[in-house]
Parts: sequence; C-alpha cells; structure tokens
Amino acid sequence: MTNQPCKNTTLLIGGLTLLTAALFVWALAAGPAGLTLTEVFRALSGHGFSAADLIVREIRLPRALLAILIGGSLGLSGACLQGWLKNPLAEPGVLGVSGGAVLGAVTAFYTGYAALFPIALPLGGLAGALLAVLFLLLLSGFSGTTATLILAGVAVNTLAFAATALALNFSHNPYAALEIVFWQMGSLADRGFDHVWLALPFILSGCILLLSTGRALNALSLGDDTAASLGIHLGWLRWRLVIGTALCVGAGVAVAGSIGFVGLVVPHLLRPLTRHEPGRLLVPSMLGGAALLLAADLAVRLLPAVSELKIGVLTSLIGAPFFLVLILRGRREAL
Amino acid sequence: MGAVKIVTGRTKVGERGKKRWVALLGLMLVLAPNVFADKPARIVSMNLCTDELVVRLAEPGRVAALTRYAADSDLSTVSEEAKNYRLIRGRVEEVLTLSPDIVLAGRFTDPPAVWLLKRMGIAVRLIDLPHDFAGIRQNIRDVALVLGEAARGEKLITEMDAALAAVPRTLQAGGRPRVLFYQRGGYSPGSGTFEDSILREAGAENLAGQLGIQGYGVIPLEVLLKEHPDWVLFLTSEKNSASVTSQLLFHPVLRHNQALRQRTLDSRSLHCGGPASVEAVKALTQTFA
Repeated sequence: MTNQPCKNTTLLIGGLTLLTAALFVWALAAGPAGLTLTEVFRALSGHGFSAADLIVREIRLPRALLAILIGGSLGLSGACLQGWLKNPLAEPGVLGVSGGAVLGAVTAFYTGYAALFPIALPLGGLAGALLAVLFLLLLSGFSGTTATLILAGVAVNTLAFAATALALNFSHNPYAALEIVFWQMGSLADRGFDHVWLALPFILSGCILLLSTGRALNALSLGDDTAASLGIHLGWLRWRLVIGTALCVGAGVAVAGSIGFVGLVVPHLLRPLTRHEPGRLLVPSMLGGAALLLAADLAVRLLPAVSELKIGVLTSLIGAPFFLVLILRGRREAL
Repeated sequence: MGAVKIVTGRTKVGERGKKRWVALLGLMLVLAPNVFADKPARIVSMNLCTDELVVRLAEPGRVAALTRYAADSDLSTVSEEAKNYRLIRGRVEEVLTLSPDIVLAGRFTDPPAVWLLKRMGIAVRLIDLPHDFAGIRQNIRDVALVLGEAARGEKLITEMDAALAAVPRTLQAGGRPRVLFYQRGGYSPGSGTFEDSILREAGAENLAGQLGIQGYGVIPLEVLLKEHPDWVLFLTSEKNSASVTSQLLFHPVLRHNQALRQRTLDSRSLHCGGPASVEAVKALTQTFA
C-alpha cells in the first residue's frame, strides 16, 4: 500500500474493521423471525437444519456477506476513480458504470441466458460496465475536467437507462418492466448463496486489481510526468483501474442492482483522516463502504414498510446531499 | 326493445282487425329468437377471465373478438377453442372498429379505455373478480344474462357444481393442513382472497390468513421457515417467469429443503375464478390426501 505504514491509518483501519464486524453481527441477529442471539450463534457454529439454523445460515448470512462484498467494492472503486481522475465527483454510479452494468445484466437476465448459464449474469454486468467505462473515457478524452467527465457520465447513464427500459419492455415477461426499480435502485432482499458464489470471484479479483494501484495513485497525485519518472506505467495503470472497476461494479450490479453514492460518500468521509493520500485511502474506503452498506441494509430491513424499501433509495438519500455540498464547494473554489 | 314491439302490435290489432293481427304474430314467431331474447350479435371481450366465460357461453358466430391471451396455452383454459376466434390486444381503436353490441371487461381493465368506450356510446359490462365459488356462480349468471344465454349459464353452473361435489375429500389423519401460497416477492393471498376460499374448499387452513394477512401481503422467507407450513404452494406462471422477484421461489433454502413439502399448481385454474377452478380444488385435495 504505502511506503511508510502510518499509525493513524492503522488505527482507522482497525476502527473500521471493528465497526464492520459489529454491523455484521447485528445483520445476522436482526430479522422478522425474531431469533435470540444464542440461537444465532448456535446456528453459525453448528450444522443443524432447524428453522433457526436455515434462517441464519441461508438467508441472513449470504445477505450480510453480499452487503460487505458489494459495499466494500463500491467504496474501493470510488476511492480509485477519484484518485485516478483527480476528481472528487467520480463514482461508479455518477459516471454511468453502474448504468452500463445494469444494461448488461438485464440483457443477460431477461433473454433467459442467465437461467441456462448462471455465469452469464455477472458476465453480462461485467461487459456492460466495461463498455460504459470505455465509452466514458472516449467521450471525456482521457483527461477530463470535472465538467466534461460528469457530462460524459450523464450521457452514458441516460443512454444506458433508455436501453435498459427498451430491453425490459421487449421482454416476454409482462412483469419485467416493473422490475426496473430493482435494477435502478438495487436491493439485497432475498439474495442467497447462489448470488454470493456468482459475484464473489469477480468482486475479489476486481478488488485485488484495484488495491494493487495504491502506490501508483499516490505517485499520480504528483502529476502524470512525475509519476512516469517514478517508474509508473500509466497505460498499464489505466487498464488495471478500468478492469478492476468493471469487475467489481459489473458483478455487484448483476446480483443486487445498482446501488448509488456509496463510492462517492465513503472516500469523502475518510479522506481527511488519511492525509489526502489517494493510496492510503483505498483500504479504509473498502471497509467504510462495507460498513455503510451493511448499515443501509439493516435500516431497510428494520424500517416498517409493506414491501421492503430498496437499498439504493437510502444510499441516495444519504449521498445526494453530499453531492450538493461538493458542487457548492467546487463553485466556491472556482470563484 | 322486444317488449315495446309487442305493445305497438297490440294497439294496431284493435284498429285494423284480425287478418293483420295474425300476420304480425306470424312474423314475430319467425323473428322470435332475435326479438324476444335480444341477444347481442357482436360480443367483444377485453379480459382473459371474460374471454373464458364467453367461449363457454356464446356460440362462436356471435363473438367478434377475444383478447390474444385467450389463445395462450400458458394462461388460458380455452386456448384451443380461442384459436378459431379473432384475437385483439384490447386497445380502444380495435374494439371500436369491431362496432360491438356489448363489451365485456374486468373490474380492473384499463379504466381510461373503459371510460372512452362508454363515452362512445358502447355498452360495457364490467365483471368482478370472484372471491369464492358463490362469486363464480354469480359471474356466470351475470355474463350469461348479458349474452342472452341464461339457460346455458344455469347448465354451466350445474355442471361445475356437480364436478365440485364429485371431488373426493378425504382429510388426512392430522387434521386440516396449514398451507401457504407463496408468490413472487414473497406475496401471499390472505383471508378474503379467492385462493383462501379454494384452500378452505379443499379442506386446508390458509397460513397467511392465520398470520393476520387480509387481501395480499408479504410473508418474509424467514417467517415461512419459522412457521413451517405443511405445504408451500407455487404457481406455474410464476415458476416459469424470468423475473427478479420470482427468483425468491428458487432460493436455495427452498430448493434444497427436503423437510418442506412443496407443490406447484397450474396457475390457469386460479388466475381466473371460473369453472376450471374445480381443477385447483381437485389438485389440492389430491396433494393433501
């Protein structure tokens, strides 16, 4: 990660790990079936097949694991994109990467390919996310200012959304068009280990790729030329970031829909605590994203609503004000 | 209309004598089937459930159109017969060009379309969703009357009741089984629903109703496992659809659960409450026996 391990960062990482662990336990303990903590721990340690065992191991555990995987990969992607593009507004959702992944996943899902070959679902998401990133880079000319990058993101998002709606309306299933809410707002409701195993290999390899860019991102913050003189291969770095982000976002979206703003909020909250070094921000952002999504998922499960609130509604409610603050701050700086 | 003609006929009789009276009576006898019963000659149905009743109650020559769903063997109980009819998507323009005498639609058929048809002066009859077999009988009677086929309606009801009475009902030793209908997104029909009355008809308890659900409500998967119903019932239409919400029905905890008895029912017998719903009762009593 960084050349000198800093005491502050170690503390931050330790604290975030504890927070994530606590939220993870809470996620396993909370639910409509109302199990006691003893039942939960017995279910986790044993191999029984009582209702409590199945509820904890097959319903709550995969859901909590997915929250960690997806939240973590979104936080990490956001930190990497912001460091790479040197743009505080960069985030998979804002840039249209999630939108592209939705289009890919929806195509794989409603054509029925995902039912025949489950792997087609994350592959579709991955392909969509990759296309979106490449399109974005092409539009913004690789060295985008904030405005061109965000505009390119808007264009990609709009295009992907329209194509998604088109694909859903042409589906043979009359209910498909209604499910655009799931794909646009995201949800972890009733996801099982099927989905964990589908997403896990993609998200893990994506995270490894992204985590490997820490040193290069630090060098890049000194300018492209300095980074090159420090021995950073910029082309190779770009590909690691593009593929890493596409792997994380594509697989996450394929199993849980697009969950916005996690990648925007988390790096921002943590940046002041990491001495503004992009490389140092990566691991804390990953842990922070996992904690945020676990907390958001707990909230949608505990809120009393007839049918469960979509998790993206909550992350957007948290994230949108952040976005506004960033815009206002940017305007003030521009003046 | 028929009644008015008779009255005017009689006033003429008083004035002009016997000969004309006899001629008129003869003419009326020839026209009787049409004049007296006032049968609509161009029937259009805009709803799958009314399609199924129209096919069973009216001769094909009087049916101007059914919905295209009527011929879909995954949805309709009259898909074979429906292939011989004109099928439409149910848009107002299509209906208007057929200049129907009567349009049959469901209570929830696109309200703006129904409003527009009524405004154009077309007779539209809305049919309610039945809540039980009494509701089905009422629907058959209503539709039969509108189509001028009261006798065929009564015959259909008698046949349905005979089939229902012939369903063998041997309750299992453990008493009435607790059963849960489980649908996409975890929705389950509770008390007051058609499915609820079908379960009672088949000698079972509706778990969703026992849990306090009125109409449709969500039963979380966790609660399903905790309550452990004697049977969990799915519908073919939901199992066969590629949708995110129906993925719940394939959750590993249901798919690999040997301890939980599960059965998928033919959704055609339940989507529209009608004579075919006897098949649902039959399938359920066989399951529980």
